[in-house]
Amino acid sequence: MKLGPGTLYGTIDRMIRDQLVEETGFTDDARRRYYRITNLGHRVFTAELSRIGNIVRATRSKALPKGARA
Amino acid sequence: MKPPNPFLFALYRNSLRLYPHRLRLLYQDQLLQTARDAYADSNSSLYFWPSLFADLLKSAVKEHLLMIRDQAIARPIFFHALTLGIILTLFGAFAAFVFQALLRRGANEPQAQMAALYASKIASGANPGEAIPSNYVDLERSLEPFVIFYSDQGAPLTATGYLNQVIPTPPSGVFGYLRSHPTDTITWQPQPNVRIAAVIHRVSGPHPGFLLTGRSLRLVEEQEEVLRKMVFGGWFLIVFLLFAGAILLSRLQQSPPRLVRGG
Repeated sequence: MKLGPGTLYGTIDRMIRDQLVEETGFTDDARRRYYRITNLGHRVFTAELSRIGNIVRATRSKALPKGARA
Repeated sequence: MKPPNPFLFALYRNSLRLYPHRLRLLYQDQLLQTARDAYADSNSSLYFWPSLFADLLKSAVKEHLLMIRDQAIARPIFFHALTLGIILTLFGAFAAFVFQALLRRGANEPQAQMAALYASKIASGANPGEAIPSNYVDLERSLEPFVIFYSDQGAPLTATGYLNQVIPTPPSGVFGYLRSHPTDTITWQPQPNVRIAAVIHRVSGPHPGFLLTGRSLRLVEEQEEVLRKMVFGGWFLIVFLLFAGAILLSRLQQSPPRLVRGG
């Protein structure tokens, strides 16, 4: 998946506001910033991963037999 | 690290103004650095720049919409007042348009009946000079309806309506239209201060020609002016009350709770 700079920083801004990620404060260049995932962010990420996994499993369990048409 | 095209990069840097001010202030340097890094990693500059600008436009629109949503959530009373104001404005404009159209349509009412009556009399053989009653209506001053009969060539023959003591004649295009249509309804301005609601019939038979009945629009236009003032005044009052109420409610919500001394 490719994200453009605008999409990326808009998303980061909202994730900071929702306390899912935070700035590390570390920088090797004034133009670069580094972020780390927070505990809340980690829990949300795990929950989201589990939700998507459930969807995938549910979809696979209802998959039509090979060669059948919907 | 390959440097990006200076012109396109400068264009991108200036286009960052499309983002909301807060976002630009926080991330401008990072956005530019990420664009530089992405360019260095890209294989084709032909694909890179269109996709970068497409991302800029898409994300700028998205960020503005999200900003509006956040503001609406932060100040719901103002958002509701604004929505109600827009609905009332649209409704008021539509109602005013309908009333104005009804007023203007009503201005044709006696003329349409008169035109049909005189046109049928002349078509059935009556002489236009006898079918049309003898009367004198000054188009500049009178509000009375009037009748004018024109020959098949568009020359005035007999009339009850006069302007500067002469029978006025509408533009030749009006007669041209009526050669292929039985009737027409027009707003006719024979001179700057005189506007007429006119109904014209094509008359066939032994006395072919055109029968025009008209009436001054002065009264209707005065009523339209009163309607415009009432609608605008009403709209202004409602919108003022709406926003004054929203400001008041917002302040009441923001004011800190008062301490109540226990007895």
